[in-house]
Amino acid sequence: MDITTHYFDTVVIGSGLAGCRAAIESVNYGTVAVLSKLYPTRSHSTAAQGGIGAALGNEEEDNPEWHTYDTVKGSDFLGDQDAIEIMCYDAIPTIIELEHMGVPFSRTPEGKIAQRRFGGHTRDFGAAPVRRACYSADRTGHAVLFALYEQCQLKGVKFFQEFQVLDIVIENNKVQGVIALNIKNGSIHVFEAKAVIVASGGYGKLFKVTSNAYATTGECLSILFRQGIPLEDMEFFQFHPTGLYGLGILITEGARGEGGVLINGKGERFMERYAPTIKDLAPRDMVSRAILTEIREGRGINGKEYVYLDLRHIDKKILQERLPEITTFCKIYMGIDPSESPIPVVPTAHYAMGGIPTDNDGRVLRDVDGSVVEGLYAAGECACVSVHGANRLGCNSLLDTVVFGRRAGKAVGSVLKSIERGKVKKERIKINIDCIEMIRNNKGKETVASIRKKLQSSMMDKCSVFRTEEGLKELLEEIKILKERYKELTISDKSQIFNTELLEAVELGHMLTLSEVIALSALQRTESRGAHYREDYPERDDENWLKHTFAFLTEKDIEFKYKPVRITRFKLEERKY
Amino acid sequence: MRYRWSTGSLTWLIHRITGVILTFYLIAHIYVLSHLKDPQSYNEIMALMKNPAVKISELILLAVVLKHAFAGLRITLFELGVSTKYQKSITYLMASLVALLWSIGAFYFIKEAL
Amino acid sequence: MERFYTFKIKRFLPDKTPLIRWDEFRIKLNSMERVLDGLIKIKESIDGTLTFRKSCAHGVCGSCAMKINGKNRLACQTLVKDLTELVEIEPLPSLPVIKDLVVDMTLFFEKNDRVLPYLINDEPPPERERLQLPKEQERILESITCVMCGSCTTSCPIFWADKNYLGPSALLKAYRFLFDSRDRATEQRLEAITGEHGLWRCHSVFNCIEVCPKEIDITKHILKLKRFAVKKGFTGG
Ligand SMILES: Cc1cc2nc3c(=O)[nH]c(=O)nc-3n(C[C@H](O)[C@H](O)[C@H](O)COP(=O)(O)OP(=O)(O)OC[C@H]3O[C@@H](n4cnc5c(N)ncnc54)[C@H](O)[C@@H]3O)c2cc1C
Ligand code: SF4
Ligand code: FES
Repeated sequence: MDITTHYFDTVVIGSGLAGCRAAIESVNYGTVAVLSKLYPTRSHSTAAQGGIGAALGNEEEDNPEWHTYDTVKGSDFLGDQDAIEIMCYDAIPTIIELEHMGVPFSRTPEGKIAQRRFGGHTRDFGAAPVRRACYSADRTGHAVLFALYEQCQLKGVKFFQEFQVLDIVIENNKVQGVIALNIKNGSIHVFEAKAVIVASGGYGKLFKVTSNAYATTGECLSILFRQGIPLEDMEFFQFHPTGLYGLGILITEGARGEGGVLINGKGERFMERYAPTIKDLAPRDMVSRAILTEIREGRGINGKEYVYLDLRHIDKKILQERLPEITTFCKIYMGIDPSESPIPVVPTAHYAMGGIPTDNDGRVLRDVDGSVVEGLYAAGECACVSVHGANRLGCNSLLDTVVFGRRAGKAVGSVLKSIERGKVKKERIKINIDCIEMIRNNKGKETVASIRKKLQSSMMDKCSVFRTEEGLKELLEEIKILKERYKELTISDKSQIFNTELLEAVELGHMLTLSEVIALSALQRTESRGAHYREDYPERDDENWLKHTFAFLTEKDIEFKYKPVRITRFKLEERKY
Repeated sequence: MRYRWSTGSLTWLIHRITGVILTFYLIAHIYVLSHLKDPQSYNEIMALMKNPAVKISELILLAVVLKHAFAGLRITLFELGVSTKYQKSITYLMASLVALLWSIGAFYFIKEAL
Repeated sequence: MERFYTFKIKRFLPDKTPLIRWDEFRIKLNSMERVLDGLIKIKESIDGTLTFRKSCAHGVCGSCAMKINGKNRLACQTLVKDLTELVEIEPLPSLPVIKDLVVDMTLFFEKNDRVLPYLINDEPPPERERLQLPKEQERILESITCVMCGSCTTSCPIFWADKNYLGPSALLKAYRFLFDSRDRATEQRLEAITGEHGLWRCHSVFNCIEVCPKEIDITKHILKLKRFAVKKGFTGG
């Protein structure tokens, strides 16, 4: 087998917002390689529509303290408040920096960065919605990602596109490097490094209906987990209230920020009942539950399983200027014009709050006591700092990626001199090659598609917005069976060149691991908080559960430990809007 | 390679082809002119010009010239800032003008020939 | 409403003989499904070796550009109900094929690198954002929506003939920065795009406009670039 070894001071996995931002920072201190299984600008960050939050106060009075409060409350008090504070205060210089890098933000008449309303963002600690989301029409992610990628190019970051990471090598509690497969020709590339920053994004593809891309399968989390690195708060997965019915394609919260409202089969504006103060702009977990409750109680449109998002009363010019992309989506995929007919929507799997635990500088935690793995960093959706706690607020994720991507990059810079260069052992490479060859040559009767389909629909049925003990247990049983079936997997494409079937098989193995972690995490948390809603435990239970879940893979099984939530400024309160 | 034609690419192709034809015509033209040395050869060539085949090719030549000129005019309009939104309509307009001018030309040609 | 479609796909399997062949697959798709759904269905249930790129599945990442019924488009943005019963699919034209519908886009991306595709402004940045009036931004709004799918450049006959030609997408990228009120590298960039294989090669064929999934009027931008280059005295190449 063809093996090439490279050396870079820092290796970044993922070329989304988090990866690119981290690379821009760390290239100031040494050589940087970015590995991505996609061409960089095809990363899923490019799909982000609505905005990126920062209390710039360009449109009306705002300050980072309110932003901090909203994020804490949005997280259902599970977010670590020191981290949230860092993010909300760092937000302002970070966005200004993005602007200087060339991001074409939409502008106010006087030429400043324009801002709009977004779910859960308020003024005066919850008094009324505030304009905090900076945006570039409804293509914010696209605009920011291109600018960051372009700056990476300018600064000489080396990109390895269409390289799929197979393994992140940790030995003696120090990261040694990364093993990747060049998708184009099937050759193995070893990247030895001083530091590795994981920015591999989310894992929405575990669910049947999702706004996420095909590439968001989360294998890097599972790669670390299988080596004993814990995964934090995996039970919290956000469902976005407004996905196009039948497709899951996202209609940004910005649509409600610009005045859109949700209506049920009886024509009621039902969010008034669930969140009297901020109504349709309540946080996503609440709106998603509200929609599904309406549907369950027979108030879907014509008794069907969707509600309407109504934008008809919004000025056509505003739709044209600020929401052109989603207008086009509706036209292309649903054949409707949102200025004339309401849009059928249902909740869609959207964002992973949980992930690789890190401290405020992106260092990956090895345990609940705060000990770290030398040289290993994580940022973006794959990481859990935790700023989003049990529920992320809209436009805080893009912010998270750039703020903590930048911090991780800086942190790497500060230690590069003192870390030793990693070394990847031959045996480790061989294990990975054997694993690939085993999948390639396995002769069973199961296909990737059949197992994946079953997994996705089970996860959707039993582990999405509403969860019960019974359902989760069934799900775990099913996952166990699927894992057995996985051993019987066979693929028809045996070639070395662009073998996507093989890579999907590898991803599937990791998806099974992650699903199990999520289901188990959800099962053991016997309360309802943020996006994790247990019908059998519908109340928040601060006495027992105001803590982060850390799932570990041990020799026997998956075990749990807990880490207290860092509460600095804002006391617990009931979460009402 | 097969690729679906559109108004723009067809017009472009015709522009090229007419261009090539005109180049050859020009060579032929200069060749003929260079033989006009004395009244005798003038008369000989003019007699040749009465040949119906030559008449028909002149009609074709007119079409080619018109087509080429208007295709060039179309591009010039865009380069000078006429909105490309009207790309297709301008193409159709130019084609109609070519057809119109050619018909007028053809009318006189034929009238003269008869 | 479900209907049967025949997908006739041009295959290129680098380690099989014959290298190139046409395969036909019959699949049932409903009226909401897209060509990409069809391809996935084939890969999942008929032939696992069928290879194509995909990611976002809603026309924002630019992965899935291919030639469908003789014209470049995004597979995830083309609904089957708008096509004929026989759907003919080929990889993007004029780029080297890696496998089936996957082409090597290196050549395409390299063109972009030639136009200095980043905001250049060496003036010390102000404390807050650089101001940009909406009417200044208006000029670049269309050009920033490009997803780099490659449909335009590979549909351009000039590119077919001259693989060195910058092509619509790279020129659009150059426009995006040249007309950004915050950029300061006008001369450098004009120098870069007005070479022998640059701006002046565009003959306004309009093929790019026909295919751009983001409906960008690329030629309009290129023509504006031409006028701008002339005004600035960059007429060489
Ligand atoms: C439709 C949609 C709209 C959204 N809108 C908003 C919004 O308006 N505001 C907001 O704040 N947030 C929004 N989000 C969330 C936000 O976009 C994401 O959380 C964020 O972009 C994640 O960025 P990232 O850099 O962490 O990961 P990604 O952008 O997903 O990048 C992951 C990278 O990792 C690479 N990768 C993964 N695995 C491997 C591997 N094994 N080997 C090699 N490379 C690998 C991928 O190629 C990719 O480059 C939205 C999300 C979606 C889906
Ligand atoms: S201009 Fe349009 S067709 Fe060309 S690469 Fe960009 S999005 Fe694709
Ligand atoms: S899959 Fe992203 S554009 Fe088609």
